[in-house]
Order: sequence, then C-alpha cells, then structure tokens
Amino acid sequence: MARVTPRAELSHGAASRAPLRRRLGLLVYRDAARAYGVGVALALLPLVYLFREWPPWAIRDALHGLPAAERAGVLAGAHAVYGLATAPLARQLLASERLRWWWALPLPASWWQTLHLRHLVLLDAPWLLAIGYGMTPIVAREGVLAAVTGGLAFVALALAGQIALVSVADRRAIWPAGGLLVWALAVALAVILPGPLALLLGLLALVPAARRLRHPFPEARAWARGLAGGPPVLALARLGWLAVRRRDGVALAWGVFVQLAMVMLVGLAETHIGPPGLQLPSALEVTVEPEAVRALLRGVAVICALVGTALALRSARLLHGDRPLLDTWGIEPRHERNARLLLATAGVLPALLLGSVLLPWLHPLGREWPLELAIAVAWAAPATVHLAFALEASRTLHDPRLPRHLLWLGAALLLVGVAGTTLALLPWAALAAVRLPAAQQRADAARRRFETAVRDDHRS
Amino acid sequence: MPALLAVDLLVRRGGTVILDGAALELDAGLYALTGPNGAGKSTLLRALAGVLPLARGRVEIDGHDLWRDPVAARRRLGYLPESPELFPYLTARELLRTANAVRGVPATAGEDQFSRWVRPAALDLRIGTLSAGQRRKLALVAATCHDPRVLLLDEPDDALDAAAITDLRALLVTWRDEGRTVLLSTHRTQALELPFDGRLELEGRRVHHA
Repeated sequence: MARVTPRAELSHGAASRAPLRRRLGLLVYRDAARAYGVGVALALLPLVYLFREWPPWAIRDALHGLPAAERAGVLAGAHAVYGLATAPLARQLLASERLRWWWALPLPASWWQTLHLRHLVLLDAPWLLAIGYGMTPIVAREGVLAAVTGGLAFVALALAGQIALVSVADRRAIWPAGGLLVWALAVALAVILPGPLALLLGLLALVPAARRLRHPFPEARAWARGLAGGPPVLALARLGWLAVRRRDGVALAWGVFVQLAMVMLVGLAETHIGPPGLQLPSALEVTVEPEAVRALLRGVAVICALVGTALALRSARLLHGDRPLLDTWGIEPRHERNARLLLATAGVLPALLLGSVLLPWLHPLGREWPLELAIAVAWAAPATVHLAFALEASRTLHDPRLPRHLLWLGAALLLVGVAGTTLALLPWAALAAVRLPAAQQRADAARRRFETAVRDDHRS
Repeated sequence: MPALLAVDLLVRRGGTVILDGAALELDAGLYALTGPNGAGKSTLLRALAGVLPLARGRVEIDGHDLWRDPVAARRRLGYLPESPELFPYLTARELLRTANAVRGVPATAGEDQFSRWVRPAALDLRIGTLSAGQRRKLALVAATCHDPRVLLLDEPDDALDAAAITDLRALLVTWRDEGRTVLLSTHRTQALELPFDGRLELEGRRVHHA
C-alpha cells in the first residue's frame, strides 16, 4: 500500500492550503475593518478636539511629569478602559461563530496562532502606536534599552490581556473582571519596574496567552439572566437592549466609550477654566474661557445624544429578521413606539450618569449638563426612532446610515452653535415627534405588503 | 362566526405564487393539514398567522381581521413556526416573559410547562445553545402559554422525544375539548393517533376538505 511520508504530506498540504489561508485571513480582516472602522470614526470625534486643545506631546509630557506611582495608576486605568472598550471586538475576531466552523478545516494550530496574533496587532495598532509614542522621552532619559524593553512590555501585556479576556468569556462575570484587574495591576507594575524586568513580566504573560491561540476559544456564556418582562413598553425596550447587548456588543461598547470620552473631555476643559494668560501648575498649561467650555458642553451634549440614541436604530435592525414572529404576539403600535423611544433615551445613560456626577464636581458650570443633555435627547430620540420607522417603510433598514447621521450631527451642531442654545433643536424635535405615528403606520404597511427578509447577522 | 376564516388567499414567496384562491372556514375542533412536500402547508400557516403578507384575500381570527385589527386578532392566536430558530441570544425565560408581557398574560406563564418538558435550569440558558428538540418544545410553549382561541401548529411533533409527543397528544385533545380551534400541519396523521375533527389537504394551490 502506497504511503505518503509526513514531509510530503505537509508540503502538499501547505501548498493546497495557501489559497484557503488567504481567503480566511481576508474574511477575518474584513470583519475587523468593518467593526473597527465605525469605532475609529466615533473615537476620532473626541480625539480631534482633545488634540486641538491639548496636543499629544503635551499629554505625554504631562504623564511623564507625574510621580511614578501616580503615572502607574493613570496608565493602569487607561489600559483597563481600553481592554473593556475593545473586549467585544477582540471576542469577535478570536471567537466568532464563523471561526468555530473553520476550526474543522485541515489547518495547523500554528497557523491559527499566527493569524490571531496578526488580528490582535491589527486591532491594537493605534494603541501600540500610542505606547511607542509614549515611550520616546525615555530614550533620552534612561536610554534606548529601557525604552524598547519597557514599550515591548506594555505591548505584550496588552496582547496577553485581550487573549485572557476572550478565553474566560464562558465563565462568570467575576472572571473577566478579575482578568481586567490583573491586567491593570501588571501594567502598574511594569511602569514601576526597570525596562528589562518589565519585559520579563510581559513575556511571562504573553507566552501562555499566545499558546492559548492554538485552540478554539469557548462559546459565550450560555447561562444568562437578563431583565425581561414587565409592562409591555419596558419588555419591548428590554428585548431591544438584549438584542444589541448580545448580538452587537462592539457597537454598544464603542457607543459607551465615545460618550464617556466626550464627557471626560468636557471635564478636562472644566479643570482649565480661567482668565486668558493664567499659568496653571499642571503640566497642561492651557486656560479655557468659561464661554468656550459652555459651547463645548452643548456640542458634546448633542454628540452624546446622537450616539446614545442610535441604540434604538441598531436594535430595530437586529430585530428586523425576527419581526414576523414578534408580530404574531400582537404588539400594540404605541407600545412599540414608546419602547423605541425609551430605549433611545436609555442609550444616553452613560453620558448622563458620568456627566451629572463628574462635571458639577469639577466646576459649577457642569450643573448645566443634565438640562443640556435632556434637551438634546428630546431632539435625538424622536428623530432617530422616526428614522428607523422610515427606513423600515422604505425597506432600507440595513443600509449604512453613518453619512446621514454625520449630516444630522453637523446640522445640529451648526444650529446649536449659531443659536447659542440647544433649545434651537426643539422645533426639529417637535416635527420628528409629530411625524412618528405616520412613519410607524407606513412601516407596518410595508410589512403587510412585502415579505420580511430574515437577515442573520448574529455575531456573538 | 367561524374561529378561523380565510377567504380567497393569494400568497407569493419570492415572486412565486404558492397559494391562489385558497379558502377555509373552521369552527372549534382539531384539524389536520396535509399535502405533499412543497404543496404550501407551511406557507398557508404563515399566511394565516400573519407572518407572510397577503397579495389578496383576508384572514379573520375569532371575528377579528388579521391585518385591519391585528392586535386583537393576534392575541387570540398561537403560532408554532416550522423552524423556530429565532432569538438565539435570549434565554428561554427571557423569551417567555417578553412574549407574556406583550400579550398581557401572567409573567411566568409557560415556565412550568417548559421546566417539565426540558428541565428547570434550561430556562436560563440561551436558546441558541438548546438542542433542536428543546427549541421545539420552547416554541410550542411560547405559542400556547397565553391560552389562544386559535392554534396554528406547523409539524408540532417534529424533533420531539416520545414523552413530549405523548404530552403533546394529551394537550391537543384537551385544547380540542376546551373548544379551541387547532390546525396542525403534519405528514404523520396516522402516527399521531389523534381524534381529528377534519382533514384539509393542499393541492393545486388551494385547500380541499378531505
């Protein structure tokens, strides 16, 4: 009986697998670019303003000017926030349902390891660049070796942390929380330790994490006890929330991240309020006039409202394929309308909660935040819900709507900027609210006339 | 007034005519809907449940027009689809509680039945991780836990184990005796051993009383 030698088998297999590898690699990269692209677009909004007021080098120098313990705390917190914000995307890259089927293909474990490492480096590229940029002053202060080893330590910890978070996705919430805490502590330790020792710490974390990439990652935790039921409006809003939370955690994480970043930006501006020319003891020696901060607060309220209320649009998209079954339950139209409005409003909770606590604490001007945000939400919620119904009616719910949202954002910011008050949005809000029932009727009529396409973009 | 009335239905799927001129009028009782594969049994049930739009015709559930008075009609209706692959991200309990809230019935309706058919712990498992048979049982519970007047069941015994089929048989007979209207599509009318009050057969895009 003819027998193929292992070497020949490997060689033949490697040649025949090359197109498959390319194809699979491209598919995953495309998924990453699609998911990451929106996030980057959203994250750029606060970053552009931040860097205009406080350039990257000013932030970097301010960090290096802090005492080591304080710097360790700030960097540990930054890594933890980054890990939390990117965890859904890392999970999508490393453990998507599609990958689960690909593991049945004849590919060596090392190929998966390489592919996943590439994905993670791609995902983390901006973060890794920021680490590299942050380490540059150490070259002059402590030498190249300390800077390079220290930088590599942070890179290794970032990659290992993300792998660890994905690998415990099937455990109780305490596990990912513990993983995040250990990651933050390791970063704090790496800040304090000399470069080579920090690198050793990073490698101790990265080596077992990289070995984990050779095996499939677990499915998301099957056990769940989400809030469900209650009055019909609340039950439908909760259904929409669960759909987005469990099917598109990436979009949700980015939405929360952008809101929190925007609020913190206002907080940062508040800490620098003062008359022009005043020199502050902080390394960021910039002063901002109260009127400029007030204008920033109004603009940020509009952005947070639009980003937060997009939750209602996202849930309408995700539930669209399930509409036929939902309809058999006999949903009252007003219940559905109010549920969407409730969900849209709830989407702004991160900005409301953080802003209502942080901003008044930093400066009395921050007391204006809840009212400004409420007015902005009173505009964004009916406008977004109206958009969702209008898209259902025109059967274009799944078309990308980022351009229209950006256009809205630009128009709203212009309106608020020219009028000097968010109250200028109220006529727009009233118009959207008045048109809402008619838009819903048109959406219902479209479902009566056309078959609803079941579109499965289940991701988690 | 018939419990379930369908008049002159024209239903297309993907541009292809599946039903043309189909009509039925059912009072309380247990009815079997039969026909060869592809005859349009599932399509008819989907159209009767309001899952598929009608190109022509009308459907009434307990005197309420399905499309003109949808809320009243659909709250009197229970529908078990052929492939209940929906809401994989919800748990069984979340699905039941949401449906119950919308229908205005007690929050825990159906949970005991599901716990008995599967196991209590499965209530808090995501539907996507349940087996095909468990999903079928959940869909059956979700379709019936609000005590609807009219039940449309598409292959209800499909993927069920022997114990669940025995339970299902008993339930179907109970529903019939309670005066509900149950229309179930099946290929196994003999195997189910049910006291059907009538048999409908789909042939040539129309419904015939066998």
